[in-house]
Amino acid sequence: MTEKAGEEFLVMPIPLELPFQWAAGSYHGRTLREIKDNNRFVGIRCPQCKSILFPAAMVCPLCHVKVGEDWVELGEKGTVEDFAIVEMSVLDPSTGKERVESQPQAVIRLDGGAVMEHRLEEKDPQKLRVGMRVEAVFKPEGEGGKGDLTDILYFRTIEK
Amino acid sequence: MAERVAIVGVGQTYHRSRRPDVNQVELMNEAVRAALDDAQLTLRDIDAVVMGNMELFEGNYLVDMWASDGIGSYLKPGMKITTGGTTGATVSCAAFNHAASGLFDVVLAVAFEKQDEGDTTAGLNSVSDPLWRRWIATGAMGAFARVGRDYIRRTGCKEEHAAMLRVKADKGACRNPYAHLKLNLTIEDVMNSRMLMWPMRLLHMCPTSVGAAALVVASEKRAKQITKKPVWVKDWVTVHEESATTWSMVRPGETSLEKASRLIYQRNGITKPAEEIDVAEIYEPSIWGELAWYEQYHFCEPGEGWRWAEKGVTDMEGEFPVNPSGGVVATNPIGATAMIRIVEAALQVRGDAGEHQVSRPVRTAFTTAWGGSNWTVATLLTKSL
Repeated sequence: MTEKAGEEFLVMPIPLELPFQWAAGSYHGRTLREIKDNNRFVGIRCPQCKSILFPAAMVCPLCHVKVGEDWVELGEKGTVEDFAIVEMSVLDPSTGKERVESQPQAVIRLDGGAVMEHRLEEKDPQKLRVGMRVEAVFKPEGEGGKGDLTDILYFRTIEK
Repeated sequence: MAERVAIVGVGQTYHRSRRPDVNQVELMNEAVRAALDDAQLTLRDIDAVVMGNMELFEGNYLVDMWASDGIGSYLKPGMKITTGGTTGATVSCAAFNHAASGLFDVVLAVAFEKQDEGDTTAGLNSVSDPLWRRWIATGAMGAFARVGRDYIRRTGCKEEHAAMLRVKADKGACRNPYAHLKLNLTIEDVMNSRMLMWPMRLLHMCPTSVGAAALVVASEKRAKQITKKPVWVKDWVTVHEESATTWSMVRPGETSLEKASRLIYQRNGITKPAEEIDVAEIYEPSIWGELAWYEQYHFCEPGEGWRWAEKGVTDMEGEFPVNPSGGVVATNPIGATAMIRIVEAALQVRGDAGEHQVSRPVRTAFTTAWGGSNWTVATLLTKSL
């Protein structure tokens, strides 16, 4: 006999725990290692078009040529190009857990030219603006850097 | 020389928030039976089957194996395709290619999503570069909030304009029997809905829907035998954009939306899209996408989209109707969504869209899909060859 509308239809719960591990590769890996060990941002320059690849990558996506060893320091200061106060939580596919973005997210153009996304320390909407100057604050030594972008705590406002 | 191809049957389910009364395969089968009925064919007439969905929304890999009974692919050639938001359009293009190759006369295309069975934003965040952006990603909401912010800063558009287009979409959805959200919205309703991330409000965003769509596609000779109202697939284009890995670089040149639409217009001698195309069904996961993308599809001049919203240019009765079905903000079973654009455009070309048939006579319809790592698919459907 089929189940009738109005009855509770059966659904099967799937509480998945399925761990993965992704290789960063030697180029992207160096960018992450420099953040963790030396608190600095490094990219690599394409020998052909001279674009800076950040995170570093083995092959320039514009020219499809293999990069050399032209590593570039990008500095830890930058300018906010866009920001957003996130007023909702999201389910994180890497943890399976709810993630609340309690700090504003921002797109930051580093003084060395590359762009990255991270969080801002400043939460007051009145003090947030496009064009504000910020600098990276790294996780203090000995607090267990993981080799990912959470090794940067946030970007804080540079007081004039 | 490729064969000419027509759509000879279309089908879709009624789109809802939840469908615990059917499993994934049965949901697909509803759309398949609807499309076969529309074409007045049976599975025996089908030479190949192409299907697709977004696997991580249901957590079920190679769903085509399970789906075989529902989509009728048993002992037939075919393939499964997953390309994010464009899935339904890519599946359709694969069916067009099958028929155009001359190897298959009649091809069935099926796409579905059962978003009540998983977490859509978690699935979408897994699209982000896992080593660089996934940890901070906020799914389609984050991406389209940024589209909205950029558009506001660049053009002087106000929040009211997004609300105007959202109300337009709702009017279409209320007339479309298959649409998911039918809310009888006012501008105030939209402007007072919950803020997710400025300027994105809840009602600016598409819902998570459950639904499926199907197309029966045939070569020219078979199409003329099967139906008196074939919808000719004049052309189709797929364009990819940047990978998420290179997101931090500014790429020179066009976006995938601009390039796909430019190519399809150029190849078909269209110089004034809003005049030469009679109706468009575009893929707007958020109403901010619709506002910002009118110009990227070369419908209007840069920065003119919000003025179009004020003038009602793209209303169902307007000079250039866009998304008379209610669009993606009203109905979004993601894997099927891009195919629904083609289904709806085909109904408009046939004159079979019922209460949401546009007032302008339809000879040419344009559809788009957007998703994945910024892919765009564009198709051009016509009444005559």
